[in-house]
Amino acid sequence: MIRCEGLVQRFGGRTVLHGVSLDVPRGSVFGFIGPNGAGKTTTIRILATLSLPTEGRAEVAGVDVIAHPAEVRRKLGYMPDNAGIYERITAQEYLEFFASAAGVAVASRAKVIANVVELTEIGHLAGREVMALSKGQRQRLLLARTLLHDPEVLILDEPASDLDPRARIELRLLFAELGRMGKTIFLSSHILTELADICSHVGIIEQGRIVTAGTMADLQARLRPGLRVKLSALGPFEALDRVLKTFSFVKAVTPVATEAHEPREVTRVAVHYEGDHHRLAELVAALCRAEIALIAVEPERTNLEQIFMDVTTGAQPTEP
Amino acid sequence: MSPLSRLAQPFRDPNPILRKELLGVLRTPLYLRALTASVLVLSSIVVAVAASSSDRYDHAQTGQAVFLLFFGGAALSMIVTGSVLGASAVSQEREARTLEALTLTGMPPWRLLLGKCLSVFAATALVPVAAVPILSMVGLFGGVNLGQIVIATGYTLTWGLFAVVFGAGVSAHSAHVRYAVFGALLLAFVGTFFGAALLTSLGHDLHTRYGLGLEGPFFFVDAYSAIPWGPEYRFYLITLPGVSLGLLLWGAFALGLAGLLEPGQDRTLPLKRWLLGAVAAGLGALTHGHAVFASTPRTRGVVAFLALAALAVVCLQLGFLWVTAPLATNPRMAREHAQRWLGALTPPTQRASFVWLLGVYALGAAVVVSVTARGDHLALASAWGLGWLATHLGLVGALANRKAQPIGSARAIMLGVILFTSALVWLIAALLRIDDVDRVLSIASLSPIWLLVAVERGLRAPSDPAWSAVIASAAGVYGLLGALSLGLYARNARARLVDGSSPRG
Ligand SMILES: Nc1ncnc2c1ncn2[C@@H]1O[C@H](COP(=O)(O)OP(=O)(O)O)[C@@H](O)[C@H]1O
Ligand SMILES: [Mg+2]
Repeated sequence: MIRCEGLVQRFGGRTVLHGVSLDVPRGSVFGFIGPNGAGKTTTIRILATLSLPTEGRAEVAGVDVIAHPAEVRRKLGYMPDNAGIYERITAQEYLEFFASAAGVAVASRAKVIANVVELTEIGHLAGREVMALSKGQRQRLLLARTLLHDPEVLILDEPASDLDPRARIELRLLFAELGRMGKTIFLSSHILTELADICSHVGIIEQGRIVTAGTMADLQARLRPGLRVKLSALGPFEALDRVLKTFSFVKAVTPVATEAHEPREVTRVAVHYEGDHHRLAELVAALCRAEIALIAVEPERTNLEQIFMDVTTGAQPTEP
Repeated sequence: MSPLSRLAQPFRDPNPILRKELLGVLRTPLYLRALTASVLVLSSIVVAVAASSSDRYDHAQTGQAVFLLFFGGAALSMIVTGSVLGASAVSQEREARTLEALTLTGMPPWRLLLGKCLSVFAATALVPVAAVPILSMVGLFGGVNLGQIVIATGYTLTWGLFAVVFGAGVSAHSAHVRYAVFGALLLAFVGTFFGAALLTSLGHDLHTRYGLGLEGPFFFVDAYSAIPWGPEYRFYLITLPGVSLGLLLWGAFALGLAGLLEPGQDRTLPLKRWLLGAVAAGLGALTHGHAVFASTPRTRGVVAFLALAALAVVCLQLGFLWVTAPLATNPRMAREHAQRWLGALTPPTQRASFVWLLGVYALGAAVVVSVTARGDHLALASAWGLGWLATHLGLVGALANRKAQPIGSARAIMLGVILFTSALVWLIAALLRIDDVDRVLSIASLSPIWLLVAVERGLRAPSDPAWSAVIASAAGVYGLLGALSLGLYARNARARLVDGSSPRG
């Protein structure tokens, strides 16, 4: 649905993108992740037909962004990272303005606006001045605006940065809903946790290069083979360690810090093992037989944060 | 869509920009306060003048003075506010990062620009319209009739509209409001100066022949009732204003459109269309005016008309240069623009367009020679040709050079050349004690228009010794400008050969 090949972007003498290639399948929620200054916005602006790449090509919804920008715009909803906003008009007027500008027919305009307002739950803000809205409310209004022409593809640049946790969670639910409606969503972020749950696909960019990309499951399997589980028990670490080490399929046992409010006798370990859930059942049974007071068994999900730490080097972008 | 429903479309679905901007203006407390203040200032000046002049002049004269003062002030205030507000129309959206969202809606650039222009015009026109009650004072004094007031109102509003559209045109090419405002005010100042001068010289001619009541740029107000219906009425009062106003407005709009086109589109397209229209309309107007020229050879009006046409061509060339400067610092865009426009205006790469431009100049010279029925044709044509060639070479040199160098230094070079040559001429004039300002201006302004006026005057008094000094300094200045421009161009051409790559980026 979104594809780019060998995008190179130079500003002055400085190369910001070094051949970025991506493939985002239809209906996926794609997380485009990278530290500040990695080149996310630069890539996104090319996809949104707002700037021409120095080299390379890109397609959105099967249409070439360089050759047919007007057609791409009809199929694309783009929300910039720090969008400007008009003064002295209300949220309702703002949406009417953009609906009219986007050429939504007069007859269906009211209905179209009502639909996006309902979807983004901003009905109560209709009469408020746009400038007076909070950051989270503004983001929802901007999102409503990008949905007015019913785009197939949504490209959202850092939609959740600067939001408080509650607004962030609400926005995430909204994206999930849009994903269910069959829209292809391309989100960028430099904050990992805000994306982990809703992305089906991820691409990680660092200093203008894609370091890894694929489905979440794919990346997990590729980068962190094996399974991990966290065990908590009452008693010393050594007791646990001794029992677990007797199994050959256990790769590593590492102590994990407990929370400050937990009793001192609680011990927690992370166990890295190979195999399926039967193996885990074996481990639990062995611990019980050894009369270790097991109080919790939690799967440790490989999250985006760990993948990110694995693939990026943390190097600072070099200035010319 | 049927023609009828197409006509009804703007009413069923009004331009969203117009609607939004007007809402914004009406909700700005500052705007209403400024409106009230300017109406108060305008009316107190008018009242003061009326009170002070009523004991020295008769009632009709006082009425006329109040009338002129009112419309002069209204025109001036519309020009200033129109250019300032027009200049912020697009650049403000660019600065506030709202323009991109608008372009992404797929709204055609002409609609965007039209909405901006109309809303700014409405906001500025409210000042004179709100102040119209002051005019009732004219009714007390007499001396001016209702028809004249209607014409003067339309006339003032037209000046305001120009200022707005030119301002918006500048604005579409600027990334920052302050540069746009500066550029638009400069343009408004130069345009008002030249426009008023041209109108005055045109009016001067008609004034003496028909005994018009009003002189200066406001002569039109009288001309419509004083000049009898005939070829002159049709040419001077219908064709000439219609064609020149239409072309100027269209040109300004085209300039704005060019600034709003996509990075990948040919930004010169609107100006090329305009050029076609301008040539067609100009030729049409000339044909229409032929009867007038034939019956009254060598009037100042003809010179003024030709000067207007020449000014339009200069504006066009400057516009071409301007739109070639890409706004974004994107190397691909810069490269494409450089290729397209170096090609279009420079001799070696696209000979055809160069020859074509020279042809336009030759045509202009031929027209000058043919309509000025007596005098030294060779001197006129060579003065004209010299001026144009130098201007053309100057533009080519500047364009070629700015593609190879940072834009700032190219601008500084051109500005330096202009200031230096202008200063030189004034110096020569001072040394030779030439006190005819027209003549010094003719050279110092580096404008073929003034040169033409000077040549015409020189031909009337061929024995005047100062005249040869003027011709000599003109030749020197234009020669210098031409040589410097060729030098710049050649230098850049060599740089590109050595470099082996496209300039800049
Ligand atoms: N128009 C521009 N001119 C010069 N450098 C730019 C321009 N736009 C972005 N950059 C540089 O490109 C790099 C990547 O920027 P960006 O794509 O905005 O990063 P992010 O991943 O944070 O969105 C940054 O170092 C930025 O300074
Ligand atoms: Mg960014």
